[in-house]
Amino acid sequence: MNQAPFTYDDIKHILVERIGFTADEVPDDVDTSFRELGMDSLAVVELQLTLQQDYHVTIPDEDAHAMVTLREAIDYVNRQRLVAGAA
Amino acid sequence: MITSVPRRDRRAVITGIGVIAPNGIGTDAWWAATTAGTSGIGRITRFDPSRYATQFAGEVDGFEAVDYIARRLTMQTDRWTWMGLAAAGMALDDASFRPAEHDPYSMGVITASSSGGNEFGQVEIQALWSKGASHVGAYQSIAWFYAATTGQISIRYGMKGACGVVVSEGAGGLDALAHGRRAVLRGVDTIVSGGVEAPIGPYALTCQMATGRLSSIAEATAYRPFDERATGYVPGEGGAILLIEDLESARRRGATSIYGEILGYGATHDGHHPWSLPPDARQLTRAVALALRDARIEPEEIDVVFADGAGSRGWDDLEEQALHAALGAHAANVPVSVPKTMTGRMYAGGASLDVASALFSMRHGVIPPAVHVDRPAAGCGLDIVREASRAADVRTALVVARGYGGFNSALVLRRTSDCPSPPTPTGGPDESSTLHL
Repeated sequence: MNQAPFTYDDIKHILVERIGFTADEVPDDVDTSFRELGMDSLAVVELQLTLQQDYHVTIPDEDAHAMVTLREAIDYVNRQRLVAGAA
Repeated sequence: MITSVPRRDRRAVITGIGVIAPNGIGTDAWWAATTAGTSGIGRITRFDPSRYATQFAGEVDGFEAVDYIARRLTMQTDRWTWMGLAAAGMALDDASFRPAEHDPYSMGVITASSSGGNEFGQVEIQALWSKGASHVGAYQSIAWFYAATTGQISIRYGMKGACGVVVSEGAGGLDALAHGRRAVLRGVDTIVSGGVEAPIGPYALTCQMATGRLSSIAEATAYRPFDERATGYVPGEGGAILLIEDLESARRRGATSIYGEILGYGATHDGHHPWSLPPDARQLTRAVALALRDARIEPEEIDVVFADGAGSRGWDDLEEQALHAALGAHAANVPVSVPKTMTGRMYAGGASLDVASALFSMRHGVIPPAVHVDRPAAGCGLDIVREASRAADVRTALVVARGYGGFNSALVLRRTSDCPSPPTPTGGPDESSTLHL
């Protein structure tokens, strides 16, 4: 399956469209943590559900809660898609 | 400290009012429209109503949630909660009450709701049945249920004391305020209370139509309580959030504006079939009589009645009978109004807005009208305020509300300048110069 990698712009799009941040509330730094953004556990679940729906990956709860930064979430999704593509 | 027994040395007064109504956002716009007889009822615009038996409603036009709350919060909450948060903010501003300056446990939130976050819930239920459980958003868990608005107001303002939600349909707007009053009498200093409702969506309207009490006349004049042409009611959205404080606490913090006191309350249940007309007006009569007794007043002291005004002949007849039974000869003389004729029935929001109308009538000496009641039913025997609005010295008001399922409630309010003088406060800076009690 040929697909573009999941990027910072993609996760920012989700944070704006699904979590409700305004564009300028999401810093450019991919090492920003979800906690620094002010996301509570419910917002993390919403992100988890959205990633699963839109990017067709499976994210167990323990993995979702282990993601600390935007970069970790981006890397996780790309890794899962590689695994799914190879299977 | 919260005590289990209400204390008569504490008094529950209303110091702030926030209104979101089909005929005005904010008390200034709403009261100007209400006393001019301006209705906010029109054909439904929020969705295409052409396939529904009821196509007219009181919608709040021009309400933008992001004018009042952060965009992130709007994604987590229903339109009903947006209105509740906006109205709560208005009430706090009106009272010049700054929650951050008070003990979190001295403040609580008790609101009414009758349909919860139904519009948010409809979207998620559609996702569930069309796409599957994994497509239901996480915020459904906190957006749809009845307590959501109470919870969001509590979180936003750090109010950690007595909190709750009352679910008793149209009676809820009074029941919440009475519950708030009880909390204040038991020792909580400040309660944000009242109700709002946002029931103008396809799912919510379908639920309401099942009651058989909505008018199917597609005209802005369809809702005519106590009129011989009554065909049912028109629904509406919005309501009022009020700030209830203990009188002494309000004085201590230097409150300068006190609308009135919640003087008495009575509530009963028909104990009959939940959706058919009870055989008589006995329980509604009892609710009014209990409120008068709780207030320790005689019927003749009532200067105005804000009636439930169901808008169907049978229900209107019962209310007329109850007012005559509870108020005696005074029932034929006291002005009776139904400002809901300008907004539609707003369920949990309706009676709270009637309480706001009662308090504004006291303050401004004007009773707003029941519009479109051109032909009172034969033998009605009530003095319905049908002219544009009526000048009157209103000291004491009775508000009556009923809720689908058999709920009857009545609340007595008294203008604060006519309340008996409280004990002279000891200490504190110069309260007497800022209050006229």
